[in-house]
Amino acid sequence: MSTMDCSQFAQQLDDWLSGERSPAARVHARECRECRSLAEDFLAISKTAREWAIEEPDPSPRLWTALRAQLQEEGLIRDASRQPSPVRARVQPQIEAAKPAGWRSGWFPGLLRPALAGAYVAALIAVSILFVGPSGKQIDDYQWLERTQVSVRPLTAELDSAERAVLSNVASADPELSNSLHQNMAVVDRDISECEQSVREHPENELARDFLYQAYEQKADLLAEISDRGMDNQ
Amino acid sequence: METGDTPEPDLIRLAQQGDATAFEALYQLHNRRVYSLCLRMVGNTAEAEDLTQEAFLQLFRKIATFRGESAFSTWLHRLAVNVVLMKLRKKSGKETSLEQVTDPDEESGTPRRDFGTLDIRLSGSLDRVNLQRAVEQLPPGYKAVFVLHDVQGFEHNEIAEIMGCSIGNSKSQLHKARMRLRDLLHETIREKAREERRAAGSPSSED
Repeated sequence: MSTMDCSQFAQQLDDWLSGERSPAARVHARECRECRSLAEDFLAISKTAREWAIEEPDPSPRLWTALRAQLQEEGLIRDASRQPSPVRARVQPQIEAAKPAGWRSGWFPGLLRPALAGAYVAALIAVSILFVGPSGKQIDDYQWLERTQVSVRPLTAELDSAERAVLSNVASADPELSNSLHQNMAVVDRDISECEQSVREHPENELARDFLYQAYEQKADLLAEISDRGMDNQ
Repeated sequence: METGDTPEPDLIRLAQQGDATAFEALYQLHNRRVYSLCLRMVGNTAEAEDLTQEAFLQLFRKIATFRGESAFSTWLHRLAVNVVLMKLRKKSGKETSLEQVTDPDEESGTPRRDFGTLDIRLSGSLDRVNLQRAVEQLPPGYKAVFVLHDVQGFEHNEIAEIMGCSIGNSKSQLHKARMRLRDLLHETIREKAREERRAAGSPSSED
């Protein structure tokens, strides 16, 4: 004869699910079909929920870019690219370690990277000088566009030259790698072209410009990686 | 101090001084968990990203006021849950209290005696997709407690802090959420059985 009623059993269900089962609860579960069925169903739900928990997807890397732009706009943070923070070097490895797989692993290490990194940094410096300019000066859309285009010109020239060099080296040495490079380059170029169009339409939008620089950086990374792989295969 | 292992309290202090790198480090430490919570609550990646962004925005706007009375992660989750609940309530077009209970059977916390319930076993027939669909149909408060406890693995004392309720309230909300899920999942299984009977051409005893 059970010493526990159904509502008392329901109150102990949490303990039951975590494996703590009192003798009275065991007796009740044996004798009461409804409560036994309830406990089994709750166990199945909890087990499936735990399986669901294993999947922890990453948000898009662009989320941080958008968030940072908003925080800068509200004056909550200093712009790290314009005013390098003394703690940057200290916490950067932590940031990189936490970034999801597939995110940029660093700035252009490898054979081609010094030249590309130089052009990229030059573009950023040009942007800082051109955009910050004399304080209080009003800049219209046309000027934003012109200054963006001027600032990225050395970078795009460097990328074009690197692309030609990598394509010609890889095509003769490794047809499979060459095929992969063409496919990936098409994706990256499409991204760049979409970002360029956004900048043309909204040249004053800092986020649009940020995305464009990221797209260039992605292309530089791709070229550098293919070049590194080509070197490894030789 | 180890370069790759800046303690969270140091990052918070630096962020309170407006350091962009510290903001980013805090974001990178917590973004997956907050995004997962939002995604499980709304079931849509674009919306989940918007909500994640809003939660972090609120966090960084208020970070100067953080004094460490609660864990930083709990505080962040509290903001995230509030952002998501606000969104869900706006969507449903009505204010829903966490206490709101619509079903008297759920109030008592005892199992229902619906016809056929005992013949259905979730064990062996339940998969993640079915559970996800059922969770989508839960009222916002139930959904939050269920996702926080059963999926994200928070304890009741943490949920009480995140939701701003008592531990007992968190336990009772979870029980009601599971009861509602059970009903929804039983209905899914019954519906599937009806469809299979229809497809086989035999008359259904329940129709």
